[in-house]
Amino acid sequence: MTRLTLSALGLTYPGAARPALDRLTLDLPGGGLTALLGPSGCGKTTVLKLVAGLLSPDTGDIAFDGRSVLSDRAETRGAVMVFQNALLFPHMTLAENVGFGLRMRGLPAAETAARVDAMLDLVRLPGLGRRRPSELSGGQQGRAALARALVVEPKVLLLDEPLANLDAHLRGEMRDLIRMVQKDLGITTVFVTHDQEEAVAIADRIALLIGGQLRQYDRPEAFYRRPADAGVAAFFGGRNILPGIVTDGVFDGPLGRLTLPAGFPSGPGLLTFRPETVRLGPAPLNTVEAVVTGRLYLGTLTRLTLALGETRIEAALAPDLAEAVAPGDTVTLNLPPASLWVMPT
Amino acid sequence: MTGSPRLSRALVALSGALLVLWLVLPLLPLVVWSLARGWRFPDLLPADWTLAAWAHVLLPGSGVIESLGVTLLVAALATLLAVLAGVPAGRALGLYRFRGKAVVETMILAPLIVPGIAVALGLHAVFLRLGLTNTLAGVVLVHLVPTLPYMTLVMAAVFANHDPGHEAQARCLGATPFQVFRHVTLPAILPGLVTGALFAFLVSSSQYVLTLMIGGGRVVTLPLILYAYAGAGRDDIASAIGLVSVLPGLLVLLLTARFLSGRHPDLRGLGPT
Repeated sequence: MTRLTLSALGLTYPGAARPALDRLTLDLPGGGLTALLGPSGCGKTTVLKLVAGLLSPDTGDIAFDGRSVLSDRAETRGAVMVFQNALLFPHMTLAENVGFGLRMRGLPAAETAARVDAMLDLVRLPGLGRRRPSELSGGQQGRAALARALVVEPKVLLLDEPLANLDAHLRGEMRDLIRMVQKDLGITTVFVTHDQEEAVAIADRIALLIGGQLRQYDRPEAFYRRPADAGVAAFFGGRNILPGIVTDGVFDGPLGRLTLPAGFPSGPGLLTFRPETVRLGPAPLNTVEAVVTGRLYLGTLTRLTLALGETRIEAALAPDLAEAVAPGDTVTLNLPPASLWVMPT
Repeated sequence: MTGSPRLSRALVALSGALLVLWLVLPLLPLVVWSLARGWRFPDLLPADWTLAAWAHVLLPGSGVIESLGVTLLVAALATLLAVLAGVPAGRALGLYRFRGKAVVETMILAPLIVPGIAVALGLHAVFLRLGLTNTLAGVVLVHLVPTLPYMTLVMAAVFANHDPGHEAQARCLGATPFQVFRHVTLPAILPGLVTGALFAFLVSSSQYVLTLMIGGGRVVTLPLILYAYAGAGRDDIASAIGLVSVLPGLLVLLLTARFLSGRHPDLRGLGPT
């Protein structure tokens, strides 16, 4: 269980105008699975390559259990990266691929074979050791690449979009496998993805990177309930972001005066709330009247778009509740104070 | 695949036969010449046959067998050096972008464009000062002039299609730089490497001008002997030597055929996926 610490890590690629990574500081607890989330080109893969030792940072430090590893070369560092496109060695069988790291360490053939077999069982590829990579399906190649990394018992496992090249039905299977194996072996794992649902489903903690900068590092549910800023809220699909002013625990904005939960300082702010926390009907606090402009049935939820003057908000209701409401109706809604969150402008 | 499999098999067999004819046919007159005692126009075949030319060639006194050894040694050493220099150079050209890359690529081709005699005259002066003239080492070095461009260009093409991701993967799995090369890079580039080395070997073993100028007649390779007898009008001996000089190429081709056919175990899985 290796604790991974990144301190003020910075890197600018030669010839690039902006840094790929801007003073990233992140403390990953040992044995946890952290998702590094962000849009394409935000520096996620760069972080993995830096931790693996395939790139050197311009500034900052990387430490395993408090010890700087910057002077360790990639082959001795103990951080194994699994690349997006599996990268199995085409001239080796599956078993030779999985046993590669052990052979390079000079482990006896018998012990290598035993550990490879055990690992193939773990990733559900038993008995396929003699196959060539070209004879494996995409899902099998992904699992093989995972096995090849795990068999050397890395201190830190770095997964670069391991689900990106898989069909939808395989994605959930692979995700559960990664989670199961990672918990079993207790390997500190960094999981890079651009898909926030994937990150939420797999990670203990999520670090959201936008434009090479860390925007929020928190438990998954916090990104929905307590986004750090409007950019984070928007990345997590937040539609309800409204400007206003906080005065003594009351938010004064386009929806009128709304009572906030305790703890927000007075001053200008951006109000946000999840569509699924909006309730139909009046309440003692935070009642709002709005005109329904659209209704979209999504199976488990029905999404309503509502207008209040120029302001548009979104609500997601249980389909049977939403059935009574049609576009053009004026409805009474309430926003429970506990569901409201104010971000700095 | 369009058309019937029988037709396509027949076409493959036909083109194979034509290729063999094209390669073997020019050698047949050499065989006849080497065995003829005088072969005058308009005779279709010589009136009289003899093994005299072959006896001369194969007996130690003529130095043909010895020069075959020298040819093989020079070609092997020149090929080795071309591989050692051409693989890293090809990697740099194929994988990386850098300022002046186009200039470097043109400069690498230059020795193939400039006539060999011009190169040899210039290099002769340099080698003279370095004490490399009339030595085997000098001949080996000068053979890099025509061989290295082929080697480098073949390797540049190989590395342009090479995914360095496999090497990064191998490194973080714990492979040292040497292990990465031995177990990951080499198997991937081997077919190209063998092709380039084959080129280098054949080009070296058929060099005449450069060997003569730098070797000063002291380093005697097969082409030198061949030209000497051809110039002296001994068509029978020249033909026999000509056939002997096919040997080095044939030898390396046989040794490397398994790498080029795509059936070598290291190459399985590299085919279209």
